[in-house]
This record gives sequence, C-alpha cells and structure tokens, in this order.
Amino acid sequence: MVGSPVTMTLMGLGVVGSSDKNSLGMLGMHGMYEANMAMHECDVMINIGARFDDRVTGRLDAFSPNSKKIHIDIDESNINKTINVDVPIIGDVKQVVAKMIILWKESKFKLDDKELKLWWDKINKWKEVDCLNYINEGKQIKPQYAVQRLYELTKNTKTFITTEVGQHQMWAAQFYKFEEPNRWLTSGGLGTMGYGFPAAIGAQVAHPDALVVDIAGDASILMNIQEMSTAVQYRLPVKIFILNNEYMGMVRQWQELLHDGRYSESYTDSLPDFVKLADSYKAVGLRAKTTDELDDVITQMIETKNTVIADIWVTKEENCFPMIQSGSAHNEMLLSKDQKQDKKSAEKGKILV
Amino acid sequence: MNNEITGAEIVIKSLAEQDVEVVFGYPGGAVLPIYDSLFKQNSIKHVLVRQEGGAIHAAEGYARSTGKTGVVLVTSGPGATNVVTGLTDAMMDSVPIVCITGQVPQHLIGSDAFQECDTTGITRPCTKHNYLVKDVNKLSFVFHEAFTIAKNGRPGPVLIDIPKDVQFASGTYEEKNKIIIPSHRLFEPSPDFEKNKIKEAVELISKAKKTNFLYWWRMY
Repeated sequence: MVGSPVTMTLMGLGVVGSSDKNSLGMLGMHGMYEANMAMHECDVMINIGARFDDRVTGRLDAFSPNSKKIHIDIDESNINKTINVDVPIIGDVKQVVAKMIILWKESKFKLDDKELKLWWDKINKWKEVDCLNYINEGKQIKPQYAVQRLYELTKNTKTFITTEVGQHQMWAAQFYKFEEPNRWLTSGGLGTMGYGFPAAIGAQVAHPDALVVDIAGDASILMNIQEMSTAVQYRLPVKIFILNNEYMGMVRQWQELLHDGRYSESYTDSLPDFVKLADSYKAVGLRAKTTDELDDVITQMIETKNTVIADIWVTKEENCFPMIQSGSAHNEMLLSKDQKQDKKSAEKGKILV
Repeated sequence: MNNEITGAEIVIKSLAEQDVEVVFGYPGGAVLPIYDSLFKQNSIKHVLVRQEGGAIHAAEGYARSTGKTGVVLVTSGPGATNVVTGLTDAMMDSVPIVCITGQVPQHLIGSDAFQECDTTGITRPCTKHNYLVKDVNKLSFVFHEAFTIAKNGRPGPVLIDIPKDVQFASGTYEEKNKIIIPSHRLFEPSPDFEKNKIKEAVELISKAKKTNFLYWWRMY
C-alpha cells in the first residue's frame, strides 16, 4: 500500500513473503546487504514488533543514524532500551497497524512518487552486489547449495523448517525462502543449540501431514540426539538435514576472523556415523557426499514416511557471509573472506559477542 | 463434600478445559499422581520425550507452529532444572508455554529432600510468572490464570510448581468462566490510548523520502 521497502529480523522471516516485490529479506549480522544499507540510509523507520536486538543493530551509535524512528511494541520495556526512538507506540501490533492503515487511507496519504523511485533505484543498486553469491567448485557440496536444493525440492509442499544454532541456521535463513509466517522455527534470542530437533517434533505432532525439516549442524544435533527415540516411538516423520562440516562452524568462523585461526576445541574428532545412528534408532539414514548425490538424497528423504537423518557432507571451511562483525556498523558489511574488518573496530568488537 | 476431586485430577481437568490436546513430558517421583490421572483419561495426549530439555523445545515448536500454548509436565529437581534453558528460550522469543513441575511434599521443602530444588527461585528470572501452589483449592484458579498470562500482552512461559501432597489432597474445581482474573495482572493496551502517537507516526511516514519497515513476527 505504501510501496516502501520492508526488511525482517531473523524471527520475522515469512511475515512478508520473500517473493514480495517490497521485501529486502533479513537484516542484521548475516542479513542482506541491501536490507542493512537501506536501514542505514533511511530517513523514516517503522519498527513493527521487533526489539532492536544487538544482532540486528550492529554498533549502536552508528545504527540508522539519519532516521526518525517509529517503534510499535506490546512490551513497554523494549521502548528506548537500546535505541532511542522518536515515536513510541505501546500496543498490539495488529490493532495499531490496523488503525494506522485506516488513518493513512482516510488522509489520502501517499509517498512522493519521484522520491520513492529514487530510493528504490538506490536499493536496486545495492541488490546488484548480490551479497549471497558463492562459488560452487567441483563435486563438493557447498552448504549454501544444499539449502538451496532443499528449498527447490520442498517449496511446493507445506513445509516447516526448524534449525539449531550456528552457520547452518544463518544459511537456512538466507537461502530458504519463506512465503508464510510461522513456518520458520528457530532459537533467535537465546541461541540454543539443540533447539531444532525437539522443536521439529513438536511441530510434527501439531501438523502430522506436513513436512517438518530440522536444518542442523553436526555439533548442534548431538545436543538433543536422544529425541530420535521419541520421534520413532510416535511415528513422527521428522527429517533431520545435517550440514556436516565436522566443525562447530560458527565458532570456527569467529576464531578464524578474530583469533588468527586458532581453532581451539571447535573441531569434532569423533562424530558418530549418522547413517548407522539413524539405523540404530530404527529410523532411516541417508548420506550425500557429492553434488551428484544431493538431489536424490533430498528426494528420498522427503518421500520416506519415517524419521530420517540426511547426513550432507559439505565443504569444511566455508564461512557465512555477508557479515557485520561485532563492533561494526551496517554500512561496514564484509561480503567475502577477502575483506577484513578494520583493526580498530576488530579490537573493540572482540570483547562483544 | 461429594464434588471434591484430587489435586492431580484438578490439573488434568484444568488442562482439558483449556483445550490442551497434547502435553510434552517426562515422569518422576514428584509428579506420579498427575501421571496417574493422565493414565485414566483419553482427551489429552502425552508425548514422552527422552530428556526434559526436549519436552520444552517440543512444546515451543508446537506453540510456534500453531499459535496455541505449549504444555510441559516434568518432575521436581533435575526435571525442573533441565527445562531452565527452554524456559529462557521461550522468554526471549515470546513463546507461550505453561510448564508444570512436581515438587517434594510441603513438609519436606527446604530439607534438601531427594530431587528437591528451589524451582520457583531458579525460574523466577526466566518465566513471565511462576507459582508454588500450596492450597489444592487454588489449583484451578492458578491454571486458568497461568494460561491467560502465557498469552496476554507479550507471550511467554509460566511455571506452576505443585508439591506432591497438594496433588494428593482433595479440593474443588472451579471452571474457567467462573474465575475472575484481577485486571492488574493483565496488560491490554488499547490503540485508542495511543491515538495521537499513531497520528504522528502516520504523518511522519507520509513525509518520508526513504522509508523502511522492519518486521518481527505476527502469530497471535
């Protein structure tokens, strides 16, 4: 109605469909370049029920410096907690936004067409950066590619995606496209490894006929692997899609970026054989080691009417980009491994989480 | 006192009246009476997890994919401490949860009894509200209020700690619609309160050259 660009937090994915022409996708630490740049340069920001989490804002004193900010929230304690706003509105988002729409229409308001076009032109330039770009090399499976194939092969099915916490979670957020709300279940605030699999069980109990996939990492999945037994007992056909790189990938990434590649305790030496593990629970275990095998494994996983662990061997040292490192601002995103955060921000950022 | 039932039966009756279809849980000494009542009925399904941490995340998954309140049932001590991560998770991400924990009988509270812990103390900062129910006659009120609080305003987890003697004691059940929850416990801001702010916001948007909407989630 307004024609304005829209961005979403990690938790908000699907509220506006990712195919919507106004959607810029997710913002924040691993968000889209265009979403973060738009946040940085906008002159009016309307925050609907988000709470200015540190993963969203980046460096506070450089967060959207030139904008007037409107913040609608049901929780008064979120107002002016980290970001000072110009127009705070306490209330139920649904009711408040409904009122705003009525008022907007009654007043016959409209954004200035010329300015709006200039704004979109600018945003489209940022889109051209193609921030999610990655390069497929040889037959090794890139984790991004695995999520992309999963999306392509499940997009026409009623699918719920849950995740654990780490690199795989961010790749899932970036490469799985959500068109509806409440199809995406992830631990955003607390960041609980081990969340995704039991959450998938809960979602499958509520939606026995839907496809429920836990996109997991090899480390996270082990935190609540005992629930395999629950899934099998209740005949819950939950699918566990492990992006297996044998590392706690996000820990490794931070160690690479901030601790000169000293991979202290972030490599898992003795992972179980996930296929045999599934087998031992009387579930189905599948494995893809190369890009040739990937589609078959995903298809087989979807078609199996049983609990499945799909062990996807992905390239081990892939990093999750784009990224705003702690201590940096939205317009200082790193787009690839070759870019480095400036030294001063890096030193300051090191103490942050 | 013919219409008196046990505390454990009140628990199940309250859940049934709140339209609870499924409970995620793990039995243990301090919740056996509730599990016994669960055994004697067919309306509520129980999903037996393998560790309590799994129960609360499953309840979160259930709640977030349906918009309903997720229900967890675990025992005292380690049962309760194992759900702390999930309670904190639900608190941070605004997921409506009602978590029922068993507690050692009242005369043993504070004696370092087997599987005793200070559940309400431990979970105070990671719940919207929590209760230690000492009087069986207050049990149904507590349940109906807990379900309301879990979804009212910003949703979140509510915990009900029930000593074993209260589960065995007899008392009366009060129906949901006969209960009046004090208004100061609830938060229902009307958009009319913020009329001027809403007007200001809409006018501000109309003058913008470079607007940007930022969304979290809508589910309730």
